[in-house]
Amino acid sequence: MHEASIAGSIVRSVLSAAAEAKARKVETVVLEFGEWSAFQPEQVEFWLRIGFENTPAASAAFEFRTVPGRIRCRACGTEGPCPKPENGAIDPFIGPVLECPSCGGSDVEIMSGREAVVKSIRVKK
Amino acid sequence: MKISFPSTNETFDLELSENMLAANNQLAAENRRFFDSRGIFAIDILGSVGSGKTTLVQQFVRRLKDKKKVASIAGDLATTIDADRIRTAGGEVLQVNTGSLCHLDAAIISRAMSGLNLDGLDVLLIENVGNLICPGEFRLGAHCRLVVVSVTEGPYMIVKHPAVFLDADAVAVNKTDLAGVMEVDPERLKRDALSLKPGLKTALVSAKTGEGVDELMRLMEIPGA
Repeated sequence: MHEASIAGSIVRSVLSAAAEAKARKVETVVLEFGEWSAFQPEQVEFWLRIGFENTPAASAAFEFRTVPGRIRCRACGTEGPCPKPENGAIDPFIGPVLECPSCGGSDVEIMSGREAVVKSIRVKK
Repeated sequence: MKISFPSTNETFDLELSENMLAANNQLAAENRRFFDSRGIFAIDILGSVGSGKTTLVQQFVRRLKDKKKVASIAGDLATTIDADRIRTAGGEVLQVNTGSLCHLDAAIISRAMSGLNLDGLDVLLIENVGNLICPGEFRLGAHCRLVVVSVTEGPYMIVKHPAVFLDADAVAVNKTDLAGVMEVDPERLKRDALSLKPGLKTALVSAKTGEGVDELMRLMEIPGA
């Protein structure tokens, strides 16, 4: 349900950029979500379809890209991706099990992986 | 915004790179500056439905009201039940009904502030919508984010919802008076929280009996605690 909020922001951002560029039609919207963000693409798309109804972006295609999660360990300084949970559970709601791959410590900082970004749009004049 | 390259004569790619959480984050930062300018200590209280947030807010209010000016914002989809309950403890209370929205956001808090008497206010307690998933992504501008987890939710509540704890400042393991009946070890929940985020302020409490509440308030550095 919180996807509705983020979709509202995306709709405003896309439509204002399209209007500024005097575009007639928005053909593609490229979105980037972090691996550990709590937003599910299918849900975001559902709300985007509703939000873009009767706008120049009504028939836009959505491209979802995933930004890989990266951590930095405050204990040993290791920086890089964080291993997936061993049980293979990959549920965005479960989120990251943050453990330094080098020292096993959990005092880690998230460098990337929680983004929710409108990367670009393709418009027709 | 920059136009990166024309792919045909009439089709253009526009580079936006706009952060969709930025609007809320900016408003949250504005809320924080507003709180700071008035010397208000604001607390964002998260927890599942039935974890005991309202009972804990009542305890906070009872302990603070003679020393500090306290106000509360109760967030729920519907009804004024929580605001009515908190009002019995004292202080000013504002109920925010979100309809179908599963979380409070910085804009809601900003608007709610105009419905409160802010003169001399010291502590603002914000009870978020009962939910351990959605409110996590939406900062309000509070100085302290407290997550309430109770033993009646079973032993796996923290490990199943790690994301919200990564953004928390304090965790209250609630309903310790029922730990025996529930056969859930509150210390284990505390360890789970600390293993997710070392340095989290954690306390075992019973919002019902009041046990551990003073220690929690001290850990959270609430003025007047």
